[in-house]
Amino acid sequence: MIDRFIRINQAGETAAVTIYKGQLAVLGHDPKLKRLLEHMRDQEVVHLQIMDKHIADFHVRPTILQPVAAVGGYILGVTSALLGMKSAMTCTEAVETRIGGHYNDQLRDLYLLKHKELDDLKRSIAKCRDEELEHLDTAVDHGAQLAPLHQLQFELIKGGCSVAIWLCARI
Amino acid sequence: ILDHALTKVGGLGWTRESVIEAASELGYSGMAHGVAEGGGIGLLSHFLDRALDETCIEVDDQLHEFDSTGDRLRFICRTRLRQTLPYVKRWPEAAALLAQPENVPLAMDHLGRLSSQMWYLAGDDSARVDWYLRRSALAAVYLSTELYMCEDRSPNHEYTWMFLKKRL
Repeated sequence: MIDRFIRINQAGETAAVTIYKGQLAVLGHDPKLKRLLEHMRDQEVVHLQIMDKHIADFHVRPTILQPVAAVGGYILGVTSALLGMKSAMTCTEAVETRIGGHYNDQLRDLYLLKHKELDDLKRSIAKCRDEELEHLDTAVDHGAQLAPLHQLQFELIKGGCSVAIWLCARI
Repeated sequence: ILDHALTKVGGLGWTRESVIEAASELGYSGMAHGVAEGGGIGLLSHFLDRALDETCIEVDDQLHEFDSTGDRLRFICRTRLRQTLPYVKRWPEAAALLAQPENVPLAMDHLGRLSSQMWYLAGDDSARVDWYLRRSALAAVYLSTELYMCEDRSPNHEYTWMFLKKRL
């Protein structure tokens, strides 16, 4: 079970980093937006380092789809940004909602286990979850819910995340 | 029973007969050969598990003496290969067993676990595609060296260690 969690988390954070990179590539000309996106991207980079360390510490096989997650994330970032700033924010809102819920599910399962070795894991995932939810709030503050066809984009991207999570857990 | 059966392998090979003989000697009925699922391959599987465990234990306190990952990897490989040495005369038989189509999944599982464990012991912390690349490369090197060892008649198996060194 922990194997799967760590495997998915690493793939997820890889995608998160490249989503922001993709959005920066398109929307980076506006200095305020650039600062915001770079800040969120840097936080995701730290998360990815944490996940890489978990992979090594717990001797977990990383998903072979990890490079796919990186490329897919970039494409998603660029596409959502090309649709406009609000759509980019919707993309972030959807991804962070799914990831936040995902980390919460993991923590719920992890807290049933009382081993001391897992304390560090629980703490890191909790920290990542908090920052992801922060990104969610930021995205909403910047007009995520005002995007055209918001509901459609939101559900589509959330659904895509679920599929990716399902795949990465197994492969 | 399986551990005792391993001592019979030299004479009776990687077969159900070894397990039956071992069971009888220990006072169990010959029907106890069921502990080795599939006969010879069950015994072989037990050996592979045990060899890996013994390698991990043996290597544990000596790893800090080496400076580089390469040195550590060579040492761990040598230790694991030495586990096969007592059975080297019958090893081609074992390799043939592992190559049979119905045993291939099991063989791949053992090889994968072996390769992965050796890398972790050597201090591997890769987390990307190189995780896979390293393990496949090591598996290939290990397999070829083990087969080379079967035919090596040099004193103290020097040629095998040189073979390994060139590939690692």
